[in-house]
Amino acid sequence: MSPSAKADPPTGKRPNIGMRPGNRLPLLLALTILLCRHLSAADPSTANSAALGKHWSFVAPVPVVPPPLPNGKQMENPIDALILAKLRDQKIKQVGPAPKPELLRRVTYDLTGLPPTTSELKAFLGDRSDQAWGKVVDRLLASPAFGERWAQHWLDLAHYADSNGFELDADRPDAWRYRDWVIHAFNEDMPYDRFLTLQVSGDESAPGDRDALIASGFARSGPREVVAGNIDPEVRRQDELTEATTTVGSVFLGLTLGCARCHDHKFDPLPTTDYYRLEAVFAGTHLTDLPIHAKSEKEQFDREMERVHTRTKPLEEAMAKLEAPYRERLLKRKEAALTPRELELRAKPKDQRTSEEARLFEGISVALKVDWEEVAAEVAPNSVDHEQRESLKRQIYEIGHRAPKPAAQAMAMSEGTCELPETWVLVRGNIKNKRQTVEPGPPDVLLANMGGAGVFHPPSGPIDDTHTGWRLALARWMVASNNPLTARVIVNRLWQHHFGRGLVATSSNFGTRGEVPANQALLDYLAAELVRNGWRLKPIHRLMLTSKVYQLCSESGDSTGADRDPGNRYLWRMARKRMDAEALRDSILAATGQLNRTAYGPGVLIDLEPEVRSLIFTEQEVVELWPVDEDPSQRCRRSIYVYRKRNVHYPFFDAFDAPDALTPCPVRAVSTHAPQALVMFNSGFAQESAKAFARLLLRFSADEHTRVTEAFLRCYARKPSREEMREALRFISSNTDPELTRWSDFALALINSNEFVYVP
Amino acid sequence: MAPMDAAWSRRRFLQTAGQGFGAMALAHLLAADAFGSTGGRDSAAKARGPHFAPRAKRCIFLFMVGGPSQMELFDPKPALDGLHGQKLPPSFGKVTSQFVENDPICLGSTRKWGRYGKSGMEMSDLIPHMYQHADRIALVRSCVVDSVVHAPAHYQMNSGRMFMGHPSLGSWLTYGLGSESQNLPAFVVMAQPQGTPEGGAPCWSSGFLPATVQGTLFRPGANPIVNLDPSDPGYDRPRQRHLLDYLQTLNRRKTPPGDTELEARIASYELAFRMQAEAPEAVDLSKETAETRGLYGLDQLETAEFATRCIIARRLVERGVRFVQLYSGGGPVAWQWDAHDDVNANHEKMCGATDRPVAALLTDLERRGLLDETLVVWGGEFGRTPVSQKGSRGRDHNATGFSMWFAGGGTKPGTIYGSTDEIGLKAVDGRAHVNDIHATILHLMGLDHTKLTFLHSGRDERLTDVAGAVIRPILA
Repeated sequence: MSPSAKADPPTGKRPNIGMRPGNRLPLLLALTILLCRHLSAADPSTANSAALGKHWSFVAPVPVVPPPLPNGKQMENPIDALILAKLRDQKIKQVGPAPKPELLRRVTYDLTGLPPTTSELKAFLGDRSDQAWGKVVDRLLASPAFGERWAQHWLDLAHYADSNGFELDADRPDAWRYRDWVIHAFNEDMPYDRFLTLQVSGDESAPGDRDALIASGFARSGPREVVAGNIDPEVRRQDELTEATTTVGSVFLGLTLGCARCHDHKFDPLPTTDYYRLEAVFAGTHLTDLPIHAKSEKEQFDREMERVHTRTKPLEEAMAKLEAPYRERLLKRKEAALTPRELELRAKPKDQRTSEEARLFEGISVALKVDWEEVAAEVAPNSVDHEQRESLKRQIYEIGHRAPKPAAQAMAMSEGTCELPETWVLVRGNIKNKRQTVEPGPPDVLLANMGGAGVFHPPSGPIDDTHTGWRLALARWMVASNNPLTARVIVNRLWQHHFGRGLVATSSNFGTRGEVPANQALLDYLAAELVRNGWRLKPIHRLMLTSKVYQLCSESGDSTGADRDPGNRYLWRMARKRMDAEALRDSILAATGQLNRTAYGPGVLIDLEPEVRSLIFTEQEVVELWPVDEDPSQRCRRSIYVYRKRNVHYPFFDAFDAPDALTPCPVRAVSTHAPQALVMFNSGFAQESAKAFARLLLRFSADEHTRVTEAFLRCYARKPSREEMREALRFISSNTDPELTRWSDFALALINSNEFVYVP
Repeated sequence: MAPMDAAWSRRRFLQTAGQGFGAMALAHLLAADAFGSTGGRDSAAKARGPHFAPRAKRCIFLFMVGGPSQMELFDPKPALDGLHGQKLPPSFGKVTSQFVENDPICLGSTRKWGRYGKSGMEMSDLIPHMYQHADRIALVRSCVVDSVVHAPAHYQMNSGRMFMGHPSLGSWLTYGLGSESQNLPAFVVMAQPQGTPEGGAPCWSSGFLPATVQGTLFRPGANPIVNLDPSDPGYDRPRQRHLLDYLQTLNRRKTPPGDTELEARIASYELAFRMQAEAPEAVDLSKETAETRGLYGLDQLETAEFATRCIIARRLVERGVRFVQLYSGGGPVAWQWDAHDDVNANHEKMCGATDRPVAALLTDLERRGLLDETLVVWGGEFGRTPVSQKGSRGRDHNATGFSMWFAGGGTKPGTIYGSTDEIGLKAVDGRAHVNDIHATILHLMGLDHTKLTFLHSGRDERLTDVAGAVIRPILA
């Protein structure tokens, strides 16, 4: 008997009564659900109770008036008024403000992902005016590094990478254009409603606009399977639609719609039909790489490629000539190994072969095929030919490697039709098991709460011959001022990255299984402010950063909060943050004086540990699997510009919890483990950085005290204490190694220290 | 300074306490940090450990990348041989595979077969070293996955899902059971030197579980872990210790008493320092006897590479590593079990490289008394079609019925479970879906697959999704 026939659900199939794994429902309840589910197929709204529909996040916020202090005065920043009101309820006292150097490190990290420079520190410490803090915030918000920092948070959600993933993990030579678009959008403070609209429907909302087309690539930034063979196009198509629908649902709306793909959502009032209604909006899309270059650009590319071919042709001919005798020998050997049956078949005249024999005859050519691996192995024993072959391979590679990049294309999500194809509810998410068709549109529960189906305006007709207009309609609904989710979800993400934890900690899950906000009034106030400010994000950043609560100390001090609210949900202190992987690398480069601030452009291949490099999967005879940028200064670019191949992980990023770009990542893990110490202590990157830092310090001054002070300022934004100075000098003079070595060791210790890695 | 010293001495205690409690406390300290700091409800710092008494404490998964052919190894099909060169009779149904044409032609096997052991288990002449183990392994001939493409099938065989981004079996085991070794990673992956499998690093990803439970790639050579060895050889051990002492001076000054997050980071450096000394020892085969070297085929060109990894696997489980995964096959097609062109030529090469070392591993584990507590799993991401690919001597991918075997760790020796149809195309009896296989492995390791969960995106995720049943007939 099959083991599957026992009590457990049927093998490989999702059970009809899908449960939260691990739980079982009593039979009666299960039957009731089954019945409801059945009804829900006809009318989704009946299946879900009214109470769930009134879940806090599905109802638009009511206007919030920040309360006055007990003495009747109004706090300067409404955020503080709303936080203090909560803390008064909880009888928790806030800790005091953080020292100025800590504040500068904090805000510079949060807004730019970099440490403050010594001159920035000096200017801030020297500015005793009331406007000093506001000026710092404004300076950082205006810095190009702001967009670079915040684009990384956004790319985590888009689960961006520069290659497809899956088997072939093919490169995406134009993916970086989307990354640049995001950086640029944050830097110019593009209103969030426009930011959203372009990413959901750039091709429809701004037809003919090259940047809008690039922006539309948002929902296809994740992995995509591209392989040859008998792949069912319907299955592949469904996978693409699932990826787009769940990404848009979780990133913009904070809804875990993916759960409703196979069954009605078990906890949120989202029947399966809602999932497919949203998916239907995308039914007309296809993933396409559209040219965004001038004709002349392409012509120039073709001309240059012709020159490349002219140069490689004689080399390829020489290669063929060199290989010819070996190939012939291999072929002879293979022919000699043909079976009598195959030889007989080969001798048989074509017109006498049966259809089976015709097929088998084709198969013989496979048996006689000579692969590059065999040729390489056959040539290898002849060292002269082997070296000649390797040299030719290298020459051909060098020419090809320096060939111009193809003319620009946009990795777009676009449409090619004016008629939306039908979408079916799929039983258990299976494309082969269609139930009924659905009309495109947003989830019913949200429509009902916003005032009925009328709040969603389907397109009155197609935009043009190739655009249905449905995604634009969806985007307009998402950014309607009374949409209960869109504004809350984005201001919560901003809060999360500044305060270390979202007001709703489950920042991509605002459903009933997500966290209830610790301070809903504050969240709602911020959401309303965003809309009131024309959806511009920088004023919201500024509002958050100029609050008193942002400027609190991150240590517990003598506050009662440590006992009453150890998780700091009510914000009686500031959160200490472990730098994330990219910021840590960038901070090391900046502190050690190596950072190259060049912005934008194609991704840069940086050094990769040889043991990882040599294992990169490839079926081809590849000369150089990981051709790092030849200019060393390029390899010191910010991490956002580092080329990210989905199937090849940099040990540094991996160790420090960089997401794997396989699913949207709303909150990064923060883990501590030994491989972090190995990469920070032993890697070429860490040790070279320490050496660069040492050279910088040696150049900086002849005086050892001055050097130590400079090192502390660059790493910690503070001067060393007397004891620290003594310890540092004792360490530096403790042996007779060359000066550069001793200072490198000192530098390596500093960038490894907790104080460097954690932002207070 | 007194409170700070207290915290410091606790750390010293953790370092110096014996392998037992000290290791657990350290692991807990590190794990607590990993779980405690992720924020929100998408974390679950549940008490870890087995749900019931485990049969296996460790697992070695021998993953044959590309899809070994069941018809050439463990599942003889005389009926298929009779149909050789003919169109597949429609009664067998449609063949679902990546490249095979619509009306494919049957490809018989030319292997020589025998029955071995008391169980009379059939094996072909490709794996002569396995004959002696016929009464030691539990063979499952009815395995099933859902994809006929390498990468998705790799993901499914590793994580239960065809998509990237779910935690792998080794990560789930590490998450559920923690680490037994203080100085080595709990989950070690050894890829073939020619390259990783098609699926790449996501095959041993921790997915949404903390990064602490992801697989650590061991590379060939004396320094198996990435960055284990200082990039600059000038960093000898005394210099590193000196540097580390200064680093910890800096850290100690800035660690408030009881700050477990910062303490864990201090401890992680000491752990790494010890790992540097002990990991090379774990992969140093110089003390293996001549007899052992001969047993595995360490000194023969054909087998040396896989033999090295098999001995290392044994040495790792001896040192408490929880889950070791060896990939045979990776990089170019010629270095995989992916016999599209010529199944005999391909399998003669791949079996030639692995048969002796794999058999030796079982013998070696057994005679050292380790096999009882070590589960050994052998199999690929799918099997191969009984039909030829476009008339050639090769076979395409087949996900609907293929063979895997299990040994030790509470499995029932000499079992033959499940069957495929007359030609080896589809599992007909005892269908063992990958979810069932995972449920069984977790069960043997003392974990209930329905209870090992992690809250992610509002859903209690598990390795087996919403399916899976323990394959009880193969349990001892």
